[in-house]
Amino acid sequence: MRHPGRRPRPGHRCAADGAVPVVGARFPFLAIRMESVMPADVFDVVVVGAGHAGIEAAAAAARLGCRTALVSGNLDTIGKMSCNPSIGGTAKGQLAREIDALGGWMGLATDATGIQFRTLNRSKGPAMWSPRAQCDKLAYHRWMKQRTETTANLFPVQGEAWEVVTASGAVAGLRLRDGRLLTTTRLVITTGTFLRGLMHQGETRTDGGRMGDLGSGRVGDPAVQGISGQLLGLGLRLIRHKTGTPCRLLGRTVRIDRCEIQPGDEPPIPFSFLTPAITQPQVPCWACRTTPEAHALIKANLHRAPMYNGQINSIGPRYCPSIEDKVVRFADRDSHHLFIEPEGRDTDEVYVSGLSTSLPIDVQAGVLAAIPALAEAHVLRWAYAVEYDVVAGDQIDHTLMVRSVPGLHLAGQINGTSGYEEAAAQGLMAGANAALSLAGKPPFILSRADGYIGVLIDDLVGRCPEEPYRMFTSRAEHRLHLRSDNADRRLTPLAATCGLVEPDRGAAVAAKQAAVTALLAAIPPAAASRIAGEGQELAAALATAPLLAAAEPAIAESAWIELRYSAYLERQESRIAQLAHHRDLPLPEDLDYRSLTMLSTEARNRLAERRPRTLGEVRALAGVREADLESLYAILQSRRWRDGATTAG
Amino acid sequence: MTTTWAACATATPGPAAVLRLSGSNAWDIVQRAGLPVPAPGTAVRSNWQLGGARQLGGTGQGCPVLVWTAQAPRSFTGENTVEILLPGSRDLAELALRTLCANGAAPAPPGGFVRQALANDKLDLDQAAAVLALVTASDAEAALRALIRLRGDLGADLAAVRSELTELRARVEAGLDFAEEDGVAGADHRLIRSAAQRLGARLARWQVTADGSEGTPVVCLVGPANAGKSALFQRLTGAPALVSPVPGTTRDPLEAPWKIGGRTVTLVDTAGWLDRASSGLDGSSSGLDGSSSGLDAAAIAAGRRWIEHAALVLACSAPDARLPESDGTWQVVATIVATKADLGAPDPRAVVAVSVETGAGLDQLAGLVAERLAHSSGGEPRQQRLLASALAGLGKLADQPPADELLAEDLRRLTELLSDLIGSTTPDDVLDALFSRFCIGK
Repeated sequence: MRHPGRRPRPGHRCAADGAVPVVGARFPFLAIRMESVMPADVFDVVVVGAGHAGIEAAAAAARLGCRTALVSGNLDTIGKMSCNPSIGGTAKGQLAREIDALGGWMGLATDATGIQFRTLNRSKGPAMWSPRAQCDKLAYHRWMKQRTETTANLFPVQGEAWEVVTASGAVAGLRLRDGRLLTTTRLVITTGTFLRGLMHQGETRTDGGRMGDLGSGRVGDPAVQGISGQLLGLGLRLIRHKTGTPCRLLGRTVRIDRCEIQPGDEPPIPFSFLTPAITQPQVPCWACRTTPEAHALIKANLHRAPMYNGQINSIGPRYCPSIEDKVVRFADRDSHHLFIEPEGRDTDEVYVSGLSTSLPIDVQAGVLAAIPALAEAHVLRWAYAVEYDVVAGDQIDHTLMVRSVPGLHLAGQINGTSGYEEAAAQGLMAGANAALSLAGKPPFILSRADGYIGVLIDDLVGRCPEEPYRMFTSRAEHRLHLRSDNADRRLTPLAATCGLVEPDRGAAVAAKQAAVTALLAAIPPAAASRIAGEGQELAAALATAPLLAAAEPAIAESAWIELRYSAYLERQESRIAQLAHHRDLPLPEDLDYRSLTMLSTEARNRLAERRPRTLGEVRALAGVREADLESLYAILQSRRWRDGATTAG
Repeated sequence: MTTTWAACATATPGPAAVLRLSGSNAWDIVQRAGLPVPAPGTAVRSNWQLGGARQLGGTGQGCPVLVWTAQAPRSFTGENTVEILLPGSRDLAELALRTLCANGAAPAPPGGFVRQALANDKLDLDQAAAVLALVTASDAEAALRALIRLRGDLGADLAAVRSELTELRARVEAGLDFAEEDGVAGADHRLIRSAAQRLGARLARWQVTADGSEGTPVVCLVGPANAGKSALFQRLTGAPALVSPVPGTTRDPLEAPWKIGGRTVTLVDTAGWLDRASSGLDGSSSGLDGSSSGLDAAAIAAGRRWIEHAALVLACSAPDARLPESDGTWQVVATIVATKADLGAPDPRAVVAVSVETGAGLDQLAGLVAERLAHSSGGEPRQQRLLASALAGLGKLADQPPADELLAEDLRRLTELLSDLIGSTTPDDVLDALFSRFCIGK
């Protein structure tokens, strides 16, 4: 949803003022307990959790001028990369670009702390090109921590979330374990894997959401479990998800002479549209493979993998499965890819991508011994699996707000997703919408045609995720339009209208858009049809179209891509327009929604309950996804035809 | 030699009657009965000198008929088949049937044609049952259901093709989403091409064309006499002879191939069928059954029959022979063409103005027809239009699959088209499920 530019709220200071906003009469219902609250503990927005989702949520709310608290159990874990040390990848790279286009921090942090940059899928068409970077984990955390400390309106708070305080069913504040009350009407919960987190290493089970945080008092820590109980108390339905992380090795003990080198791109392409160039040196990654011996060992010890012996009774990710999962599911393959990724410049710790497992330590050791490149490796940290609570997506709306609890937003793994980028995207949208709703502004909702973020949230809402949700390009109907090269042109103007980016950044992107449009108009039809018809590559196009060659490289590349996909892009646009055009299409009164199995369960229930009269009314229903709308449209079309045929026959 | 059966295939009285003969010597019988036998898959008009027709009050000029033939095995029954369309009078139909039987045909027993079709593997048992259901259907819906059964299970076929396309797309998508991390290979173009070819052949069976056998779309010229239809027909097809408005010119071509760009369509001249005042079928030949209305009805029915089968109907309107506002036959489906543009102001309703004299607008007309047929927004039923789009899409893939990310879009669009036909959609969850077969790591 797009709406006109944001104006400062009366009595509310913006970030640019550089002053502490005035707190007061806008919380009338708090008047009765105001005397017990220190003014410093009153916030417009409170974000629980300072991971990838929490940071973007707090940053977005602060950008929109809200006095925002970012609550973390341990400020030394702000922006911690709990699993792999990389940002981006197929579809995730596009997400990271979109986060950047909306003013988020993920791209900037990656550019500043990246140690290897690669654009994936270069062999595929340009819609598939996905930036990916290995980051220095510690530097990434430090960059994020510093940024939270230096951003106007943003106040990091160390404390353990204990209780969601409500008044008349709506959010009224957050109680910390030490008794402090953070007064707020907008709460964003981004607790990752920490809701009743339970870690598994073979037969060993440990309470908590992340290894290494054991020392910070998390063993048996009921703090976040308290929030779980709270959410249950608020009537929310929770389900269990699980995920895993592989072992970390001492780099110098890995036999890289038995690996294949994977260098970064030269020159490296930045993630953020604001970064002019990556100047730091890059480090290589390494690739090797598992062996039949390793597979045999895993198969022989499946009974000791909690996932297979029933100890973990929850749903795991199909898309980044544990090694035992892969060995069982793809029994015909006797080898799987493994990637050795350095975790930073100042450390020799390396991450073994592809070897995530819940097997006990002695089996893990045996598996490593059976892989030539890793046979001599010293293990710094062993792999483990974690299971945690997730709020079923049929309880949130497109602003990521819990429908039954006004003011309570959820973002990240708590909504059933997997991955830093998916989490950060939700955080940004939840934080922005919390701030906008507080200001009485229209919500900021992206459609499936606007971006992967629109696809992500539309997929989450109204569905009970059966497994951790990871973004793929195949989830996007408008994949050829949702590219990494045009994320700024797609989204920054929208972000500018609601204040998520500065007006001058919006203007710069508008100018870029104008340049691309002008270039496309100026290219002679013959050259254009060579590119579109023959699928001419960029170099060839530049060689034969002087106008293209004369343009600024980024502009030329975007114009080339749009020409190359022009026929398909037009068709996709007409499909988007078609759906918009059929807003007034009436819905048959006898339509049995509950029998329409191609719609999500939630959509079926909502439709059966509310019985909208037109397709336009369906769009406005919470819990009905855009994908459901598309399906419903197709059903109506074929029904109309069938009815017509019956009458005619 | 098997028995050749003859029967009236329609209820009489009605607007028109259709007599059907089926059997190895059907053509000989028809010829002996005094009718021309057109080439298989085509039809001719004729005036049938029926013995005893005079007793019915005729003038001796014969009964206007349309004769169609189909050659074994490409016919409903799998035998040589002749269909004779004649005015829908019961007496006339009985007389015609007697004439055919006198020349060697046997009256078909109930279900005789179906039995032939069964024997020749043109129908399976279920379909044969569907035919019987169709002829005994008490209401339109029952008839439609029977018809769908008769045509085999179109829905099942579409669903099978769609699920194969979905699976193909899952493979292509996996190659796009997991190429880097898991080394999933890109699309195998040879496999895509052969699958597209196979699936296209499976769907092509459902395409309906004018004569049920030829694969070319039919473009029909209609309009008042003197609207320049025949001149246009000759000019476009290069057919040597012109349709004359006088009865008896039965060997004049009704249809001829018209080459537009790379494809051929069948152009049909329905001259005179729409405009009875000067077509020669009225007045001068009237009285076979003592009433001209029966003949008019037959004329219109035959015209309609063409129009129903046509992919595109071109209604001609000339400055000196203006197309009437509407007579209900062509109004919905026709594209109006202004003819004789050299004579005066073209009909304002027309989308293109042509002149056979000057050649003006002919290329434009060809382009327009090609475009209409490509998008198939002409008069084809929705189902056929979607089917044609799907076939075109499959044809493109069979020919040369594009880059993987475009291939995925093409496959997505094809499954959407089929979903539009079947009436349900494939949730993307299906893709997820298919993905699970690929090895995907982190």
